[in-house]
Amino acid sequence: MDPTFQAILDSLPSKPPAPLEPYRELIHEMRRRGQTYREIAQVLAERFQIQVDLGAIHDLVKPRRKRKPGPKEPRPVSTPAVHKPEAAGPKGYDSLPRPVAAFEGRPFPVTNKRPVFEYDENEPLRLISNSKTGE
Amino acid sequence: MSLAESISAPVARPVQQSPLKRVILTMGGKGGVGKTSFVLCLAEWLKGQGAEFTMLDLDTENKSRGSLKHYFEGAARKVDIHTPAGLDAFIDCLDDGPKVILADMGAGSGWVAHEWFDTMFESAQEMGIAFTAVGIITPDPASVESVLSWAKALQHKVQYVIVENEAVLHADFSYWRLTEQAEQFRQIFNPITIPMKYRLPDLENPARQYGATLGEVAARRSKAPELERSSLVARAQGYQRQIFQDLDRSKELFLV
Repeated sequence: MDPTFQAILDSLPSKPPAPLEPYRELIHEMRRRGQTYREIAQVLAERFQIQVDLGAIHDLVKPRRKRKPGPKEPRPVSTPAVHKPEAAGPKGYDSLPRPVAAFEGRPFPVTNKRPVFEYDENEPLRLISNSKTGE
Repeated sequence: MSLAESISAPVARPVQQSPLKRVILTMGGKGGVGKTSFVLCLAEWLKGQGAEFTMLDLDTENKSRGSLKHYFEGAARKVDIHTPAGLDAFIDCLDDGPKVILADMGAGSGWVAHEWFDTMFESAQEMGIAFTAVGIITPDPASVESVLSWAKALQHKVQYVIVENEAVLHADFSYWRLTEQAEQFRQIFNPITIPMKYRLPDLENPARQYGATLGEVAARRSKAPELERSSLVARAQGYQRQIFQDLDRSKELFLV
């Protein structure tokens, strides 16, 4: 691995264990016995003084999704992008490590990002005819 | 049996293979727009489809007349959403009960609902729960603003159904149909629109007083003598037929 990357990884603080991890076995067993998330949360609160939301319990017990066996279908791709080096890039740009160089010129998956609905509650509703005529 | 004892008790519950579940909720920002009226129609339609569902009455005003519990005494469960657990009832009810929840949110429930979706949506989605949000539009621009505010908070976490409620005769929906913000909402979310026709006060008012649903009036099963008039029975049948036809066309948003 690139020494720069390794140094970054080494400098990262180790992630603390998930707060529910010590109770994993108990939670799984309670779930197996048909307890609801709410009942499990209640037991944890009563016995161990731990306040958890139901989503955290679900995250712990949710089943791992398995991929169905079979041939992989190719992902939709867009037209390959052609990388054009910037004529006047920022100073020192070329000297930086470029880990994506191996992928340049390859097709990449198209992300189907949905538009965000923006609405300002402080603005009055604008009638389309009024705004078009500038009234 | 205490909770501690119940933990060790064997439970013969079959393991479910991630069934798809659905929560249908009204976007409860504006009061008096007809949320409960639509939920009543939807409940009767779901029954007609043979669907099992749980009704949750989340109207915090706790009024007796006009609330879901008033119409479906015993069947609609009252839930106080102003607690730390908030809307977790969605998950717990689906955990043990039918796969569809019909929730009448009541006015002023926006903040609680938005916060719940922020923290719980991803987990709910992984549990296979889909959400249908029903917005009720009247000629009052405040009803439009309410729906748009909810949509801003919920974004693509839900599928949207818009009910155009003709609360008055010759209702004018300009603020819904002809404003930039509403148009942007329609373009982004492509909601299903269901018209709810104007209803005669002669039918609507006594029905509300006696807690009689449209279906009960249509089938002459209401307890109100004034609702037994044949003309009103025929009216109720007509209203119900019209809205059921629209629900039939968009059943994928209400069933699993």
